[in-house]
Amino acid sequence: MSTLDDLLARWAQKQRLTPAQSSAVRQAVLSAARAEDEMDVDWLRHLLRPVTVLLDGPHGLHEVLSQGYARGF
Amino acid sequence: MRQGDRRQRFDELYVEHHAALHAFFFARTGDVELAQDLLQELFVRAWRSIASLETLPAERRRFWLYSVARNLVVDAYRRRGAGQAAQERLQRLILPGHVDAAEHLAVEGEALAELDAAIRALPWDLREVLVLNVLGQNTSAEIGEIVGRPAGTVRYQLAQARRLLSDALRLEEPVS
Repeated sequence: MSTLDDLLARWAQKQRLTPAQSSAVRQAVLSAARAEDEMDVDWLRHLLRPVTVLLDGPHGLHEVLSQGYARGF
Repeated sequence: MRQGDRRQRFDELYVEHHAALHAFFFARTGDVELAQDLLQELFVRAWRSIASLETLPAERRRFWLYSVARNLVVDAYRRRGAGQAAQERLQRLILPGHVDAAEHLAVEGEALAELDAAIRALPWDLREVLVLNVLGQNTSAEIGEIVGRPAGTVRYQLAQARRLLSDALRLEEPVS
């Protein structure tokens, strides 16, 4: 006849995360974290877009400023 | 913090705490799939905060994890829009996935099926401490911190839970 401790240990074994499940959860967390990190970069790029457009455009601020500076502002 | 360091800290945190936190979620929800989802959500939050968690002493880090875990359980039930239903669910569930009793008998054997039913029938506060102890392998003091009850109360509740299970299964509990 099983003791309560034996039964509880067997019961717990059935409920416990298997190594595969545990690893799957960890991988899912890291994937979500990676996606978040990438999203943050996009968000920052979007936030800075008004400035980068001015700097990098065909008549960009960078060029205008450089010319003005070259003319001896 | 460099990405490699961050990953290493995260792995250490995960290895140390994930099993006990899974037991916590399982004890609170009685739903094996929800417990895994909540575990994942918790560790996503831990990842975001890993730099500040790293600076905390172990005890505070643990406190942080269980505080977030408690909030996630509350949020999960709120999202499901089921205050009363959640309580009924907690009263009713401990087995994963509503396993059919007959199927369970066939797969797990009669004794384990009886134990499942007996655990399910425990009052929720006794069931919670029992699951945290048996599945989460937490001490009475640790369970006390997690559920906000004195360690002495937890010890009493554990003894009570075991007595109820022994009675239900017609087992003799060794005298401690």
